[in-house]
Amino acid sequence: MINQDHYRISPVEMAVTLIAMLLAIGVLTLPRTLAEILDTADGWISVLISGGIVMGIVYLIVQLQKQFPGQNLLEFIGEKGIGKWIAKLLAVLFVLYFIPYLAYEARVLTIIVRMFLLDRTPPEITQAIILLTTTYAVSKGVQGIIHLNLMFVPFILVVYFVLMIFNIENMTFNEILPVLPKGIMPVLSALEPTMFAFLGIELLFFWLAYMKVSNLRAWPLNVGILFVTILYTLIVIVSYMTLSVTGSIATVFPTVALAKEVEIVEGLIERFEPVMIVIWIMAIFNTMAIIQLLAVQIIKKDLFQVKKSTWVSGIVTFLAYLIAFIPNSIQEVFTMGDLVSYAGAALILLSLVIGYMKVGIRKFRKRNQQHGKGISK
Amino acid sequence: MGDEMEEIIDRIFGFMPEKGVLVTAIGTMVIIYAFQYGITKINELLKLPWMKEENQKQRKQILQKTKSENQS
Repeated sequence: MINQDHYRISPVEMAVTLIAMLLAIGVLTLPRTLAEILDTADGWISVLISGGIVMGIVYLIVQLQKQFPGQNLLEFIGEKGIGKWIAKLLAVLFVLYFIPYLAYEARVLTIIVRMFLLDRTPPEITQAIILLTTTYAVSKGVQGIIHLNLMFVPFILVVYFVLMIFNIENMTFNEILPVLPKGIMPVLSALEPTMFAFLGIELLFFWLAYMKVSNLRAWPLNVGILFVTILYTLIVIVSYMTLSVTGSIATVFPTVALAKEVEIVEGLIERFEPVMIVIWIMAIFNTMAIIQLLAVQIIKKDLFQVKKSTWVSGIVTFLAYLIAFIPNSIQEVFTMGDLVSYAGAALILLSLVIGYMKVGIRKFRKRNQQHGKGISK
Repeated sequence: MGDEMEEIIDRIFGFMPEKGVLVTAIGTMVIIYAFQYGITKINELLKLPWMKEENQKQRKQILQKTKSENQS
């Protein structure tokens, strides 16, 4: 089934969408997670290494996509034979991953909104409102969501950079010294949580199908990844220089704590924190809308092959809503986040392996057929 | 008796989410379904004649016919 939609995503739009998808919860918690694991200020090195690895994975995904332009991975795998069943199984796994992922993002959002913005609004209501909003975005399809990303991402990036620039006066350079006091091995062991902060690249398996064959290149997407890597690195460094490593460990969301320290132009904006939270909500809204749309698309296109179905979005929202309230504490919410991240990483690897296996099998068959023809002549 | 009854009910529905969560989740789902259903119905009702599928098919057929006539 070749992609029938007329909309084509340009490379810049895809890069911006990647940035929008990656910038979610990780940006708020990464300095703490890294400080807890390393107990030194070397987290930024892990972020840089992870960024490089993720760029490699993006390159592999784009190379794979070049084998089946106009189709998504599941359509390519499920073309014929046993592949149909493998594609169905993969589709189920992706749905089982995306719905809890959506739930996790929604739950963290309710926690943050309750902590910093609306302390008397019940989380149930906050969550219902954000899910209704994302469902509306989903109803506008890929084009609608990508245009929202294009609109929001510049604001999000500007606010993060303002946050860092106006913290310069609070920074102490000595906090990130010495570099690598425990050697390189602990830094490598911290790659796992940093890689999780880059989860979201799985959207490429589905949305590269909307790109022209001539536009299927890895470097524009990797520029997007580079932006995220630089932002993560700077946020980790600025957190450690402003809050110190021990201070970052003691704070649940160090990036929000950074916003508390900021005072813009002699008190012109004294409380930067609500501004930052509002902008962060825009970022998480983008991520949630993409995840929800991916779940809905997979259910509609790859699982049940239905064109008109008003029930899918409702069911996805309902399940995400219920799953979001399973954890009872922030700690349990983060444990759920870890589980989701493991599932995501495993799915990306599995999809890549299955995709390249299918390409290999197809090439092998073609070669055999040509060889057979040669003999018969 | 009342306590025992409550205990049994708790045991049966113990795995269910809290009442508030369940009610809001169902409410959200119903709102989404109702709006989507309503909007698709309104869209169908307000479709102009040229937008209808059967008319678009007819248009394609007529265009093909005229093309083939012109060619011959």
